[in-house]
Amino acid sequence: MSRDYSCQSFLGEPAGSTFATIKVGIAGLGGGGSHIAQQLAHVGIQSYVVADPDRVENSNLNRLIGARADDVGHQRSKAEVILRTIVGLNPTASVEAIWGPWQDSHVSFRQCNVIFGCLDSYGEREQLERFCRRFLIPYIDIGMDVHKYDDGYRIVGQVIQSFPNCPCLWCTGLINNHKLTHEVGRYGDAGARPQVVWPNGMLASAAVGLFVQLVTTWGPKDETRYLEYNGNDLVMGVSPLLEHVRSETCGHYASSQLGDPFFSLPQP
Amino acid sequence: MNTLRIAASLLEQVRQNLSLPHPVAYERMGFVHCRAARLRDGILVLAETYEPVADENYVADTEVGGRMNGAAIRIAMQRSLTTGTGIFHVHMHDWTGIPVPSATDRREARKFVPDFFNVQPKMPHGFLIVSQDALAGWLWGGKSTEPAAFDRVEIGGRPIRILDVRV
Repeated sequence: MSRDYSCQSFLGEPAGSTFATIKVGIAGLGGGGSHIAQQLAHVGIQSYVVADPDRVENSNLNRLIGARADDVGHQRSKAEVILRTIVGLNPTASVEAIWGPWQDSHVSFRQCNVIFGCLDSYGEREQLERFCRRFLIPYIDIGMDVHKYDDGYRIVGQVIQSFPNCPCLWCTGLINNHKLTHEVGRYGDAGARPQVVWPNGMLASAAVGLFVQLVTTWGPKDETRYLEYNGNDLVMGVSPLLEHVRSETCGHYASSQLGDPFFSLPQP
Repeated sequence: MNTLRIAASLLEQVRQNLSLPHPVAYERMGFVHCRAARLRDGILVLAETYEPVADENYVADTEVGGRMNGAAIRIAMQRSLTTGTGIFHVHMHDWTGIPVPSATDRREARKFVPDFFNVQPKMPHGFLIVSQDALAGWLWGGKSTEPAAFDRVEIGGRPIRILDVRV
């Protein structure tokens, strides 16, 4: 059965061919990445590289889109679940589903035209953005955290679009040396990696919206986007930090750092 | 699949420069310096900078749209030697659609592109043709190899454009 995309024809004439030819990468297939993969499949994206090193665990079922209870017993990888989700919606989709860290499949990720980062640590985000800059790939990062305060827990999150030669995660302040130095395995204060499904859905939806604006003629065309999510008030808005970096030239990544630093053609 | 990836802003810089008139040449030329990476099924060429041929390095020649002198090529090769980049000669076909090289384009490129490997044997070299709304190119994978057309050109703008440019 061929899909009928007439309801999204407002995205512009070239959208269909772009969705058919663009290759999208998703690094991290947990609560955020699984939402993004599902939405991209609905939108009609046909070509994917997705990676995650984990299997589905019981504690993931509160937020892992597409997961089923029996995936735990069968010890299925998250990559398998995402493959099933995408192909279930787009039987003709090409999905390279990697059970392992994205770094192990960096050659596959090089081919992507846009990469979503749905990673837990600042260190991994820094690596992935650096990788994207090296291969001229726009990068969309999402993250969510739960912080404990005297008056209870607060959910916060962000979506950042990082475009080659434009302000980066370092420029926005999301990544800095202090965070990288003091990062520990725990994420937030509400137990190990506190995550719930609805903020992930908000952030993933915003990220997919940025992606669609980036690859179609619809919507604004800013290079750098920084959205903040206040999960307690359920409000998403443009970060005030963006005004301080929008017009700046990124000094963190040099244009001479493109490509494979050890590239060499086969010598006769 | 050999792929060329270029930022839309850099491509626009190339177009603007190539569109300028010149006293003795009908069409301008330049060099796009590139880096590269291996793909599973080919080479990914990443455009880094554009270097126009200086006005004084054109030769008056009514047989072709534009002809550069040896100094233009030496400058490009010196830059490649210094920076470690691949060299892609570029000129413009001033109409719309995927450009197709003329017999002159192919013949002339074969005369000078292989020489680029003398200074930078590890990188691919070649030539590009831009049109008003597209871009196509050919790359050499070695001094003695036959050139191959890029299969895919990815223009990193807003929106991103992906061109199937096999010609």
